[in-house]
Amino acid sequence: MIWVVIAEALLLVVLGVFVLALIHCYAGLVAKVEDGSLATTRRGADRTPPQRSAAASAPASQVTGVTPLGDGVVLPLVGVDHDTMLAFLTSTCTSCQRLWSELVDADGSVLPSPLRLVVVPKGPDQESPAAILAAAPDSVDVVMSSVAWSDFNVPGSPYFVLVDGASGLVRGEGTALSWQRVVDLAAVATGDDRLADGIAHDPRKPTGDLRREAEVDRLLLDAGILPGDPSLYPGREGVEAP
Amino acid sequence: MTGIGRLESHGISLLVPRGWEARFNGPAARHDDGGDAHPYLHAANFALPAHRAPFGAGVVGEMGPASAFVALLEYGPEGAATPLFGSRGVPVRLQGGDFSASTLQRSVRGQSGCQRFFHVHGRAFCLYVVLGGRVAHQRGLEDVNALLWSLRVHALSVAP
Repeated sequence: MIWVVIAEALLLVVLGVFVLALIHCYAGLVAKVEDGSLATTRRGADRTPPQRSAAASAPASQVTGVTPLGDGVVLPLVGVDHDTMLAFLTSTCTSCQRLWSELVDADGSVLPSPLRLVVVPKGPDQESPAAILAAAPDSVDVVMSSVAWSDFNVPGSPYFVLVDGASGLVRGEGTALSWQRVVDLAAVATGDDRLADGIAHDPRKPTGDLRREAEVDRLLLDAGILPGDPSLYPGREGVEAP
Repeated sequence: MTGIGRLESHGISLLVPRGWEARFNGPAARHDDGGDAHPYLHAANFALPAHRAPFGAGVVGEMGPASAFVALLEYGPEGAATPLFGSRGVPVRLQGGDFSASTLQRSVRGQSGCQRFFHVHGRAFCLYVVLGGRVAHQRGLEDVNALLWSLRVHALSVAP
């Protein structure tokens, strides 16, 4: 009998050590995120894009370029009553193929209102207008503009930038491999639950888990890490160099 | 108003006011409600729908009281010598009194329109402007005039 009691006591001690270690790790992670060192480490990685933190200043107040048919176009990003999601895609990147395909399947309706989607391939000097014309549905705004890629420091494709329509501030940016992930990005960046309605939540998940997830999401967002950020998926190929 | 977006296409250049969208459509984009196989320009202080006809069918239904819409349609150069396009130069100072509901291509409650025919460098144009309502007669019209002021039409080179 005495041996059973001793074994249980030892088990309790071991479990206690595990719990303390977990708490210590979690506290360390939170501290790193809060002081920004996690974001700095991420930025220092070779493949990591030089991302702005959320609500950075506006790199441009409009997108200027040409349509795949060669007609000039200017789309405003500032002073409008909607936010704009700029989708920097190419006709050749393998990661973009699913996005183009989903775009066609949904006839361009991949983002919830009032977000405005503008697909921004590079200009005709670096991208095939015919290929873009074939890939994009007619209902989607397409502005071919190498200048926009430069203005927004786009590190590769696919890449997404959400611009606030009132101020022109960048509300969020990052990469994503599906439009649902782009919607996730927009929902977290704007904190708009109406956008988040499109995100599937597991109803069986305990409330406490959901709360912790929301807290971690908030900390990551504050550190400039958005859904789809490559640093969240070490070892996975996603963003392709321009 | 500050012209912040410079747009140039089809031998026409302009500065696009802040918050405005502007699009050229080449000759290939041909519709049934007017115009012919020549380019046209659409500009508006709201998001232009993807499917639009040269005189704004598909657009004016989206307009609110503060909305302003500009269409610049080019016609064949032979028209430049006719009385209809006899006025020379881009109209630059439209006033509230120039607008009338009877000028609208398609009558929409609260809206008023203005139409001008003119020629520049042997090129014939029709300018068609629609204001969505009373609010647009202030800020919207100011932006329209700034856009027109910046508009430059260049002579097209003739192939030998």
